[in-house]
Amino acid sequence: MGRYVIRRLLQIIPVFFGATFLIYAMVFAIPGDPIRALAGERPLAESTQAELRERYNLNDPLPVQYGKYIAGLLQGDFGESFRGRQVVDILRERFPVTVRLALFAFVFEMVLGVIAGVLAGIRRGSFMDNLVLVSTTAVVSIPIFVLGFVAQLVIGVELGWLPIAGIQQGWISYVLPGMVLGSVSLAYVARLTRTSLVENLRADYVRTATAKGLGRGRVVGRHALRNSLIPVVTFLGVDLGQLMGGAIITEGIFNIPGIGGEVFRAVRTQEGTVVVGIVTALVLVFILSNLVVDLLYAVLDPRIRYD
Amino acid sequence: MQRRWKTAILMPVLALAAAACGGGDDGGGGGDGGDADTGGTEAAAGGEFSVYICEPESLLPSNTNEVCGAEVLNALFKGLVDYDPQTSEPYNVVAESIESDDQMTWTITLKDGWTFHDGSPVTASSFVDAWNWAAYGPNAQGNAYFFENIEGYDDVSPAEEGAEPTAEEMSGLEVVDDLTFRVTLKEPFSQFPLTLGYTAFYPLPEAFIDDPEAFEEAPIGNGPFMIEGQWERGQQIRAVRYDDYAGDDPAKADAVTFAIYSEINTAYNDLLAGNLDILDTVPPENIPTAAQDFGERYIEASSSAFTYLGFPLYQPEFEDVNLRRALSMAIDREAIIEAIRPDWTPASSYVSPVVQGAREDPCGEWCQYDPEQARQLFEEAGGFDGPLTIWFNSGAGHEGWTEAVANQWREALGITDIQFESLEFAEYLGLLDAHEITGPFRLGWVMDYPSPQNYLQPLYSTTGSSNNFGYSNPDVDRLLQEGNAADSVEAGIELYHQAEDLILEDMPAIPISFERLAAAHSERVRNVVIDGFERIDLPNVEVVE
Repeated sequence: MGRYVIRRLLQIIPVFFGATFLIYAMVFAIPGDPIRALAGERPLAESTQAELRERYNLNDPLPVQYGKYIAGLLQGDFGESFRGRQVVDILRERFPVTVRLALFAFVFEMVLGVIAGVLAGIRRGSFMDNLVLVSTTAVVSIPIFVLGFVAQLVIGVELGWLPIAGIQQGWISYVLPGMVLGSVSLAYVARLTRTSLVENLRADYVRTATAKGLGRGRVVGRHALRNSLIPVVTFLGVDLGQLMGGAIITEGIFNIPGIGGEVFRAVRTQEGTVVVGIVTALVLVFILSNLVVDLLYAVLDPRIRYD
Repeated sequence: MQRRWKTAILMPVLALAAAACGGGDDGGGGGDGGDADTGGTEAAAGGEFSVYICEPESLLPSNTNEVCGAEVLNALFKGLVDYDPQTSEPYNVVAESIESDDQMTWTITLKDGWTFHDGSPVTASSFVDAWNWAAYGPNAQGNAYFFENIEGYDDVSPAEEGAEPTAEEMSGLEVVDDLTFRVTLKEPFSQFPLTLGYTAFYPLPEAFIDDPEAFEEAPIGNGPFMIEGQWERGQQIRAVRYDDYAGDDPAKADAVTFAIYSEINTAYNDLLAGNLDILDTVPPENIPTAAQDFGERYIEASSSAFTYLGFPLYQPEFEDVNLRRALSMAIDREAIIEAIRPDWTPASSYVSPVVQGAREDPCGEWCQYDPEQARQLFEEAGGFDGPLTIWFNSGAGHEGWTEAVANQWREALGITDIQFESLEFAEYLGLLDAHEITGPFRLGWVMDYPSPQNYLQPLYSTTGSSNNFGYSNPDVDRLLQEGNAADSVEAGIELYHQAEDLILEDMPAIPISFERLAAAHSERVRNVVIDGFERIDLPNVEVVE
């Protein structure tokens, strides 16, 4: 187990270099001169442009630029934006916001999704089953920005129940955007749980458990459901990263100052260091959440062992 | 100067969604507005309110060249002069007088009694030191070019790649005494006093020079409001009334919160929900209904933003002036504005109506829609062979109206093959600079100071920094020079107008539109006035409740 974890953690190193280089190269490949575009129609003074190009190594070829970036990184210097902000500061201020939003969405989709899936799965063809089927289909088929705007207008503007923009009001600010962000995944979680549970309820070991005289709750809860959660956990593990990286539209609609808007801005202004810094942090989240998922398999299914 | 980012990629889709949902709602802006964000006071003076801004790119006066940062700095700072919100005419604020005999050497005296928010006095050095810092090459400030015409600029900020500055201070700036300093320009410039209200020229306290980075988080100014706490990026900036303010327009409210939004649609919804008090950029798709929803609380104001279609005169196809005129006269600006851009007004000059001495219709017939005459001119010019390509920058809402222009050209002139080329801004600007554009191109201009000179010299003089046309007319250059050397601001304007007439005859660019700002505010505030710089007159906003 320990060796397995160490091996997985060591894999982060090549992934880290590969990801940073790829992203850096992609930003580098965007055509156009970012410094020229800084002030729009009226170019900055020649000396200002020269100074900025020098400061951000923009005159160097790609390998040299990347090399300088990595060299700085190894000394704990994440670089800075064209406006002189430290990327570390940007991350420190924006990442927690996105993490909070993603976690809210994650808990929302996990709890409600599993409950809905179980209710639908234990009685196949019942009213509950059909209700879950119809409502999840509806949610999946609506684009997230429509969902976001409708929720904002109805719940925020018309009914005035929840704040619709910003994070000034603390955790309650995250409720509406979190629900919108998690809604599509919630539908998937419910569907996965239901299908998997329905299948497992027909499996031999469940019949055995029932034959032993165990109560219905215990059969479903301890035996069938636990086994059914493996695909769900896999999905959730991937989804956590997805929620953080994919929150850009939701963050935009609800004015959440997370990393989504910042990445978008940085890509447009071709600020390689900012894009690489943020995306690399996202890559690390992906890797770690997948590791946790793999470890959870062993908990859910005792037959799986990591030695 | 940078335009406000137009909510980029998300806008079209969001706009659809908003349009679909916006119909049935009967103006939630009224009613139970805004107990969410304030304690609320009963008197007319006092209280606090919130204002929409986008995220400032910087809060250093020397590095702020977009409207959102400028809105905040305008509340925190006061410069030597300020401008009348209606006429854009300058009047002295911190300056007692700004005088020159030869339009080259300017003596500026300051009023006594102005202080920064940290209590230190505003002196001649507060200006001179700030300007020297801003111009110093290694500081790489976005507004350094404002000091280009001051003597000694080239020593502190040499243009050549890799050259080291040979001085830290410009020789053209000289402190005479505590309240007097002298500015020597490289060339006469009659409009100099008009420029001094721009953010780049604000005074800075000693605390700034000690630690510019910390200063940017919480700028210390001399304006009617002082910052409270820090710039909370992506969220808000709070400012409270500065009680020792020396100007004659102290803040009426106790505090103002600049609420930072990344999407104007969200800000509009927040205004409807009563969480926001003033929004100076109603989304274009909401403009038709906003007038009804907000009634008197909906305001329109002229902004300085000018949109044009330029010609690459370096391409032989566009050499014939009749072709350029024909293309201009074949555009029905009114129809485009009515159908697609309710936030525009048709342009019939190169100079925005908000600047001093603006003229009604200097372009005359060349900017009027007249398909018959356009056709005639077009044929005189020998028509147009091959594909005509319209160029614009992508993701900024230019798809619709350029398409409409193309249709009008097809219809009026019979040009069948019209194509579009849209590029990201950085790449687009690179091609413009390199003279690699092959057809009419869209660009805009926002003024830095309200003089016709600011709309003409950078764009149409032979050496202009933003002359993307390859346009050169010695008479225009001469008139602009004479305007710069004129005896007064007014005398200069007269000469600039003559230059503009010549340029319009040559038509290197088709004037398309000037922007109109559509603003709306909640019932909690009144007396909301917007000036030609798209800035709200914040000190005069009153909170009623």
